[in-house]
Amino acid sequence: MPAALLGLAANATPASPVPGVSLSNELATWIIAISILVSTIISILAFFGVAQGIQLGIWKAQIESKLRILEGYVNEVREKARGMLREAGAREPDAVIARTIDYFVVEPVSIEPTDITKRLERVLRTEEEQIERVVRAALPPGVSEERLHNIVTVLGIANALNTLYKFLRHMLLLGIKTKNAMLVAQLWMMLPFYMRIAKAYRDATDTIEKGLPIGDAAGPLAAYRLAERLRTLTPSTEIVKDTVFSVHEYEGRRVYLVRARGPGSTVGRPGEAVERVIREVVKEPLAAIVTIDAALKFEGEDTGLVAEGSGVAMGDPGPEKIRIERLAVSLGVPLHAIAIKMGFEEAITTMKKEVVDGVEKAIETALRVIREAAQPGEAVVVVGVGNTIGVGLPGPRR
Amino acid sequence: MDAWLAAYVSLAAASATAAAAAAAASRRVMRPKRLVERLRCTRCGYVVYREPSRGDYVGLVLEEPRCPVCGGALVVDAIYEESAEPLSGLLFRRREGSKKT
Repeated sequence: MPAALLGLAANATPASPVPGVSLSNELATWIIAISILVSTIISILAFFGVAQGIQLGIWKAQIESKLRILEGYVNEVREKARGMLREAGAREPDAVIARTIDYFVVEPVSIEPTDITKRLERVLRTEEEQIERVVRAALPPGVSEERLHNIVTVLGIANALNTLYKFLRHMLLLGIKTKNAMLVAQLWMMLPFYMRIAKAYRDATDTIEKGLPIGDAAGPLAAYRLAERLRTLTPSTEIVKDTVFSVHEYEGRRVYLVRARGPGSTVGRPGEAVERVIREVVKEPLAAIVTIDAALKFEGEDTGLVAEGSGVAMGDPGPEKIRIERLAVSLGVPLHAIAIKMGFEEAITTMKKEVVDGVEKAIETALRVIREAAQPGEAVVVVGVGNTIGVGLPGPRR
Repeated sequence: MDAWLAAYVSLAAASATAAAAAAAASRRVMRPKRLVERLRCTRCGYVVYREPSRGDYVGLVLEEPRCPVCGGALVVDAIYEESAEPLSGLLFRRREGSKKT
């Protein structure tokens, strides 16, 4: 019947059981007819969202496979934290992990902006102090502050990865539950970025466990190198929690160096430290505040590139940075910034040689800025911003 | 005859795909990295390189080893990661993230 309809019976062979229709022609006709029927059905079903459903299924399978990898990262970091706690002699490491892995921070009210940075500072400090208190309570007496800070950082990474995993799983399940293909599609498109961040965090734990410098330690390393290079008048002294300052002399100018106390994993409180150094220690006329920090590079830029700018080079959520900005405004002091460029992964994993070379260039830039900004007899505050893991304090001038 | 031709064409397409995948995988080969600790003599400035030991940090003054030149104390000057690609790799491949050949 289809052959006749398609007009394929013209070259019929005598072998055909049906007079006027060959066997091969009949088979081809049936195949074509079924193909047309199937494609018509699929086209009709496509209007009812079947194609989207198939696509959703493919996205779901791919997201699930990535989530399994992410879950593996969470378990891996959790095990690492447990190992570090056990090695330090902690009582009930599992209880410490259980208490810290789901710890959350509630942002302050932002519709009333008055004092929002102070409120944010209070919330962030509460988090920092609380996690440290929980870990310290579990550790035996005599465990060094450096070790404590490293454990707290690994617990923080476990918390971040756990939150990321739960968030992505939530979005996937919500998308499937509400049959929202766009939600799943967005998740699928953004997943490579999330996985990149997750992998960088996972890799960072190896470095932190060993106590080696990470890329973000470029700022404190620059401060360390400057302290070594300049004549020291006052050695490193703690001025606020986990943050030190030292006084140096450079071609008749006073240089006040501020940085986090190493070699444990901490960023200190640079804003508060600068505020106190300027208010309580600096006696000379203040000519400038210089911040040196690791900064995220653009794709295509070389790692270790040093750039100069103005403002406060600091990656904090705001409270520390605003202290320096307010102080500079009230004193009318210029703010100079020096950035050592690197990728996100490079900032939180073991420091690369290119970054070490960049630190050397940043020091030259800092010295030039000091010479240009301050006259002999004036003072400059230089801040080495960043996580100081693996970078200790310089000893007496050698 | 046509069926054989179709089979050959399919086989050729599959082989080409596999070859392209293998070439892409070889381009993604992991570059070996190594950790380096730079030690500097506090007396004469002589520089020594080694692999970092657990607990080492920048600024740590070591009791042992001593400077091979003057016997002064060595201080950890830098700890970093660098590419440890074999020389053959450097000669025949572009370095990762570098414009140099």
